Amino acid sequence: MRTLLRTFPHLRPLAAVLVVWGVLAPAITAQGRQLNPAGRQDIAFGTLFPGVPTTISSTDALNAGQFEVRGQRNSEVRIDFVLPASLATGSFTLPLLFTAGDGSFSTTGSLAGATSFDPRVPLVARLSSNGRLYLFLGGTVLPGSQQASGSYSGTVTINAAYTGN
Amino acid sequence: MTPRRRAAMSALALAVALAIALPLASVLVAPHAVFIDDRARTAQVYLVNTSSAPEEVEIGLSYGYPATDSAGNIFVRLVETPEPGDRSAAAWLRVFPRRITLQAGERQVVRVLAQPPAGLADGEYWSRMIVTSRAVAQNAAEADSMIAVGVSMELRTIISVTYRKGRLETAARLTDFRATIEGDSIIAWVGMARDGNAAFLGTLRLALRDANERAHAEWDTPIAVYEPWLRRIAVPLDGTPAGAYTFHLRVDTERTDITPASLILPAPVIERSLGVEISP
Repeated sequence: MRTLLRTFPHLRPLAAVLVVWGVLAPAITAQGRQLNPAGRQDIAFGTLFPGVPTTISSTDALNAGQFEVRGQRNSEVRIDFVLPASLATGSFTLPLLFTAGDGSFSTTGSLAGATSFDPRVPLVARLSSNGRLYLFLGGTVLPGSQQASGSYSGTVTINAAYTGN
Repeated sequence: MTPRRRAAMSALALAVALAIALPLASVLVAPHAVFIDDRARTAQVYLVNTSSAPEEVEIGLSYGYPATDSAGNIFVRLVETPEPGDRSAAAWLRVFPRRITLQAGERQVVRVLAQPPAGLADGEYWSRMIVTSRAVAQNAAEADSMIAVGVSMELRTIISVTYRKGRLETAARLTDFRATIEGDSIIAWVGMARDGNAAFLGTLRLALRDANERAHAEWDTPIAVYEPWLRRIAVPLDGTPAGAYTFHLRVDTERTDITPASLILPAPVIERSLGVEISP
């Protein structure tokens, strides 16, 4: 190994990473697996006009919010969405609506076979045989006819927990 | 300005780019079940920022355990103010650090220290660690008379933290087991309670078998029994033909997700069967 690193000194950073990971990996897997919820894509509502609601379907691959939960294969997880009723900028608000069909989930990452769910109520689902669960979130923004300009923002909170420990 | 022109300007002002490239949050938490021995009184949790942007992470503790609601759905009940008899460790566990910023790809060790009260009785004491992560806020560029809108994301990962002291005993007790056929599924109601001074960790298995013991529908999941619960479980029949079947339940302590296996406390296996008729 030392000879190799002397011959190819540019491999030293990679070797350092491998050594650190070699130390950390057993510790990380001790006592249990990881749980890693991750965002893949924000909800993109596109261009809005005053008084014109805009709806993004959870089956809209380009614009729906997309999340991924990675963990122990075949494990059951509970997902709770905490959804904002509006977006805000200063004292101005922009109503945001979520309804029964605004969530979809799949274990393959494909929307083709995704199952619809209501993001306002908890979802209990199983991770796939490779430990994945993909979630898709749509919604509707309802700008008023006199909606003020500004930078509106809001937060969707996703709670993820294994049900079995 | 004419009303028509004002409306056009207003529409322009509301040309909204909701697809602002907000950083996407992602923090790996491992392990998902933490056990602290009363001799060591410390444990470590690893956080890894698996996203491509910095993340703000907050770590909190709360008493909590899996429970079910009136519809039989399972959830993690978090209890802010435990009752005096509750086996809560939340008040005397400490985590360091509690708030950090993780750069993309960065790892951080979070230490959990236990400072239990003197004279604590043998048994398990429970808490949940809540890891909240969100992308570090970035100022969105805002053009004059435009509206920029973004829905950011906050992720909360909830894992168990168990403090173990002295002699531990556990056993699961079946309090309810019934089943009905509803549409294309068999609906099982399974009630469990716990004996002993420690939580029961195991696996619940359900199987629909014909007279030749051939399984037509199977379902299993890791379970934990801290406090009594009653779950509703829908097992798809997947075209199982009409006839008489046996619906079998087994609860054992096999777990592949928690290592070493010695962390799983031994307990008697539970097995029950019901006769089920599937109509044509």
